[in-house]
Amino acid sequence: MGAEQLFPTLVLVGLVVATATALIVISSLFGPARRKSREKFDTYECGVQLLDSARRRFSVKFYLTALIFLLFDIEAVFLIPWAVIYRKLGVLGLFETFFFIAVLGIGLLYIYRRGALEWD
Amino acid sequence: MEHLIAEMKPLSPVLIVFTGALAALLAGVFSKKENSYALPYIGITTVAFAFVALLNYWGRGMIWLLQGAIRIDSFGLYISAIILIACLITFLASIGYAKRLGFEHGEYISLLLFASGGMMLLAMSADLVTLFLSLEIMSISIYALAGMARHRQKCNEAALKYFILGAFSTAFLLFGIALIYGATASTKIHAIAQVQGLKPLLVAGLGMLIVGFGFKVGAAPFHVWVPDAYEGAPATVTGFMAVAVKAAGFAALLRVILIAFPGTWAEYWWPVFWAVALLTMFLGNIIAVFQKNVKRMLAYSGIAHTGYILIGLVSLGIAGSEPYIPGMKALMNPIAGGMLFYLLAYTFMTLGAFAVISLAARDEDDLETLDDFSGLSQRKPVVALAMAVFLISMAGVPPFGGFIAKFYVFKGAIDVQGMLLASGVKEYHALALAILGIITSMFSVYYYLRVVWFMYFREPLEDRPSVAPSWGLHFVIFASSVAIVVLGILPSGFFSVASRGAEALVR
Amino acid sequence: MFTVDNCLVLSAVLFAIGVFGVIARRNLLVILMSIEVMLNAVNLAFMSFARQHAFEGGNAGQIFVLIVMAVAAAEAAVGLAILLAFFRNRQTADADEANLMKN
Repeated sequence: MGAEQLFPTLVLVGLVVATATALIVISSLFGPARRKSREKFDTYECGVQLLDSARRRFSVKFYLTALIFLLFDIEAVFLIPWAVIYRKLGVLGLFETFFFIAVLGIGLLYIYRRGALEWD
Repeated sequence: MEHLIAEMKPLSPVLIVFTGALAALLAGVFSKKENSYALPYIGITTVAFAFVALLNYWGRGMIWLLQGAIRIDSFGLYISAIILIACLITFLASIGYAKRLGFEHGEYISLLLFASGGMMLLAMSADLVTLFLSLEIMSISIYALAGMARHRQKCNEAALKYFILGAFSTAFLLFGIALIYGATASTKIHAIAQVQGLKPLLVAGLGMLIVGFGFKVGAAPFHVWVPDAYEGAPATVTGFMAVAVKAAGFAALLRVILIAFPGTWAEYWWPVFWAVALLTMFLGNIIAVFQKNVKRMLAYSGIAHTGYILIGLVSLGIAGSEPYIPGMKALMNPIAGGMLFYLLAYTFMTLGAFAVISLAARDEDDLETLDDFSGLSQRKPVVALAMAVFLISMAGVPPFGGFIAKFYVFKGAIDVQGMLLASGVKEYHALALAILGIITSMFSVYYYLRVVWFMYFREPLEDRPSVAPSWGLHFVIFASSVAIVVLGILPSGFFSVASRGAEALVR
Repeated sequence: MFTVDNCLVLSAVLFAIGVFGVIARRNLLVILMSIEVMLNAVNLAFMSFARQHAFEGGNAGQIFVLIVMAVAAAEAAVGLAILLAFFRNRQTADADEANLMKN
């Protein structure tokens, strides 16, 4: 890769750094006076105040949701190679992938009917 | 499209089983709770259809599918038949039992079918990718099944131990596959056999494969999970685990070892299996003597049976490593047939015995301890008689199937020894193994007959309220004992079927 | 630096770490993680070998990695469910507490 091809990337990096610096400098110059408080140094959670420490037991419902997510997420791994070469595989590949998704759909239907998607 | 359907047709037994599994899963969540008694019948119907589809392909030679990933041959079909029989017996025995233990769900039926489908695929895989995938379909379903009665602490523990050791052994197996792939650039079992020369990677891979399969079939020193998993799991699941997992594990082991590492390769693996078989027979039989819990005793006896089946593999290895001796090759098919016959006989006696154990002793516990068996002949004469048949058959006493199975296995080892001596090779490994096998099976007579003695010569204890067994359980106990007797009296027909099954591996 | 041999050594080391974790640690969650480490070590070995065999045809190694990932997720799901059932009945995740059954 030649240096000329890297130039746009370099410009982009420069722009990003400049923008970030500018934002911080301008806001500290023109913004309201800052008070140091405990909230300022706390974990930022979309502006909502923190309730508790994260190092405690979670409800088991999170576990269930996380596992369901994990399983369906990992199954998507098989769709990516298919998507890369789907033209080569043709209709047969399409059919096979639909079949695969249909089996996953049965799994989803089962999870839904079993009530694993309901929070309460 | 037509091409795909035509190619999938020979796979129909497996596909039927998987379809049935999905159907049972959906039926479980869409049906009302009071209709859940009907769920086992979905399983039974599925197995019946799959069995018919299976028989359709018996004797049609071998069929390669999916670019050589699957080979449907007599060996795979024979093992699949054993697995379907085991699955059917488990369904019948679960009628009533699943309800009593609180897992009369669609999931139970579905997981049993998924496990069976995985096992059938395992017995048919000709590629290590398919082999691994189907092994995991089987294992993951069985982990969940072992912990099915999730409110019982013993059951949780059994599932936990089985899961951790199972996953651990799977990782070894997988690393072995990776090394073999590294050495040969292929995952096809038949292509691995083409590699010439001894590569360290290949030897290391073979070693790790042996560790992984050793765990699955419960061979010492990889047997530590067996007693706890068998004791804690619900009795019907234990029976299925003992029989079907072992049959499928042996199927994969035999296929990989005999096809990918044939001929002179056997010199490297048979001494390992010789030591493993010896240790397995001794450990299983000796520890079983000290068990007060019949379920646990049967677990150790299952380990011992693994040892006996391994004698067959050692004989095959010794025979295969001396191919220049005339007549040696002709011995191999009967030995492998003997191993397959052993798996069939073992299926009936073990499933029958665990069906008896699933009769309630106290509320929801199984009929487990020796005290529970006291005077069973007075309380339930027919059940006690059937149990006596299963136990005496396991001990290898004629005229039952277990005796014939042991006879074929020991005879194979002695035949190989005779052939070696006749051609002047002064090595006594095969003979030693056969003699030690006979000695250890004499120990086993003691602990099997002790249960029979408790059933017939002890007074029944008072506090053992009994649950009436369901018709399915009665049928299973009756049919299994009949099968054991038939296998013992008329073995030749079954043996020729088993030999045909073995033809796909060794001719 | 990133030669195939180095990757294989790394994979063997990772596998050994996983084996050590399963054998030596007592917390069931850590044991579960160690098993995942072992599986990932295998994945690394498969990828390295796939690169080594890149010109000998076939991409079985890469396919194997995808399958191992999916299977590992399924295995983790079932394992966690079993662990959870154990935890609910015992209020502990210590492997030494699983001692109800003895010879």
